[in-house]
Amino acid sequence: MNAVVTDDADVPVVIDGPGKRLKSIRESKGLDLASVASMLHLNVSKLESLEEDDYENLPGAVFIQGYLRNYARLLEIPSGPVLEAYSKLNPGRESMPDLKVNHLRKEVHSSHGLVRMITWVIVLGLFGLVLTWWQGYLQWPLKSDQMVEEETVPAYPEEDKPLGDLPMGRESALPTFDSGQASLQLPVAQPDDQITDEQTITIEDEVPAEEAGADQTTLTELPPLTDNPADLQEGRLATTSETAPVAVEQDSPAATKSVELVFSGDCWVNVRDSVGSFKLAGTQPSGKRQVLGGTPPYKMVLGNASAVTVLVNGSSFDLTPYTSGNVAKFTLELD
Amino acid sequence: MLFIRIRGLFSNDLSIDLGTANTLIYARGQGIVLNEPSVVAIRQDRGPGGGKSVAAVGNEAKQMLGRTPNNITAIRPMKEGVIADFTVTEKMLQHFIHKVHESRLIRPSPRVLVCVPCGSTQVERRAIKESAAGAGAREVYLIDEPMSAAIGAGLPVDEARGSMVLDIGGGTSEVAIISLNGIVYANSVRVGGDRFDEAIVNYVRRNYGTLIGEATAERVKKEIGSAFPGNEVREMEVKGRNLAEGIPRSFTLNSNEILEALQEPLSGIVGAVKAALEQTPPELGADVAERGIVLTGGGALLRDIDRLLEEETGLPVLIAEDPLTCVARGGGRALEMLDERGGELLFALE
Repeated sequence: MNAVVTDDADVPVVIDGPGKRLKSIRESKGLDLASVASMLHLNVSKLESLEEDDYENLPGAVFIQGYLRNYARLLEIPSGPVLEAYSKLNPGRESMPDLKVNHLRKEVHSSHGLVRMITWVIVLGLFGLVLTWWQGYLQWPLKSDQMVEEETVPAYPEEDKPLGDLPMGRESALPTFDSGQASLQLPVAQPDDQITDEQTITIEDEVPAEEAGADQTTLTELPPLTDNPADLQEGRLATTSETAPVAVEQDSPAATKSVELVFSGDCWVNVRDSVGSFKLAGTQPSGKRQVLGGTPPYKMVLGNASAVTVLVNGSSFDLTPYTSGNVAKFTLELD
Repeated sequence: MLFIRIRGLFSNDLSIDLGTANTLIYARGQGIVLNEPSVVAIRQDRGPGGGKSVAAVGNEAKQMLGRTPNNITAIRPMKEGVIADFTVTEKMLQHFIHKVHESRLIRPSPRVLVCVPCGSTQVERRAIKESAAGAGAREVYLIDEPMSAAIGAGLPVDEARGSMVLDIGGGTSEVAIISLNGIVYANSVRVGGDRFDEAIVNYVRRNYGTLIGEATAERVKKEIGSAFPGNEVREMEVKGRNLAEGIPRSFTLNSNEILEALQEPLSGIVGAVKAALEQTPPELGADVAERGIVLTGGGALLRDIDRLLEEETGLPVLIAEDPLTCVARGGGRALEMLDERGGELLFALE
């Protein structure tokens, strides 16, 4: 019976709704509308609209689906095809029509495209920052060395020849009181060289020091001198007291002082003069001698103080009061 | 606090139907993502002072029910719709929430909406709330189960018309009349799938002198159980321990016997429905009579339960589509509405 009916109904189902199909099955079973309505506990009018597929007078989709299911069960046919026919007829009628809201606020998940994009931007940004920092870190000591060289190097070619043969050079390297005087006299000995700038005068001083530095024998003699700081301090004081009258004579006291750094070991230094025209920064190799240019006072940081001898006018400057943990930090003032 | 919010970005909003028999989780935008029995197997570690650890949760743990050695106990932490064992419930929820967020690296911290029986007390609600919070939820909302079931079934809850919903769960059955997004009348009876199983166990012991387990009783209920006498009689072979002999014996049960066994719990449900109809204001009662009662929950899958209620009440009774997941789906809908309305709620949430 069922098989026959479904065969009949299969073709019109596409055209007709589920109600028409149920009605035809009911009629073929010889059931009248009123008895079916009472069995389903529904009004006759409601059952009629259900059979006519007129859903205007019926409540929501959930009820219609329920009625259809119960009706199908009463007629002893499977409810699946009937409900399928209903959903085909009413594709727009959702099971929850009243609660539908037009725009749903979507939650953003980690898999969301925008979140992913922002994450990538942040990651790339961080990577770029790290790269920039790393490059700067690698180049920084190099740059500062170059700057120092740029400041000091141009002076050499001009002054090399006249000063190269000076006998004073060798003596100035010696940390004795006399040598201090000798270096002080240097600008006096060269008044006609048309040098008016203070800085170039000091650089001029530097040259003999550098030349002397090349002589390793004088260098090896240097360290024992630092062992006697009291004497050296006196020597420095004597130097300053002695230089005072000289300075008066020459009208440029600062220009007459020379400060020299002698490295007996590798040492990181940061030296700046008061006007910012001279600076020396970075690691200096063992055996190097460096005469400071620029305008005193100098701000100095010596990373390995025991390997550096500061020579002021050729006499050693005592670093011990400023040294803590082998790092000397002080301002060197030349009176 | 901020960290929890950030983790929340990587978590789904979840609606949890924390049922006595099954726990269902609905994730926003994904649908039902988890449907597992509310069973936890606890292992007692050996040695004095040995701690307890979770051996299995869900389907795996249900297999262990009634089949565990001494050091493992398979328990159902929910009884009659509410929490019976607080810490185990917390562990179970934690496990389920993690399972739903399996692919995520970050520990999930979702907003969670939990459905609670309308008859539950303040203490029971508080326990569920804290249990969910302890399982890692960022915010916990509670919704009455019948409300959630009605939304999930697709009832027009916002209309000025009475809709009656009957949710037969594992531990409780909830009946409610809903109109204008509110519950007009609700009642909860502690009769559900578990009581059906119990009734079958008792019936078999009384009539056959044989003891069967709850898992067997559940299988019997699903296969041949019915609530209304039908034309066909189905049979099933069952094995249990004969009480007199102490030996496992096999015997055959038929659907009429099960119908008889289920009479008592079924009458409890019918009584609750009738009481609800009595208490309903006449206008709403008329609406219900015109449209019918909607059945949801796992109990709606019991054969012919709608016919039983139809005969008893004389009203049309309809089974909702996919009745098992109605509550969880309704909760999911409620979560969406929670966002859409920006905190101005249509129905009671706690």
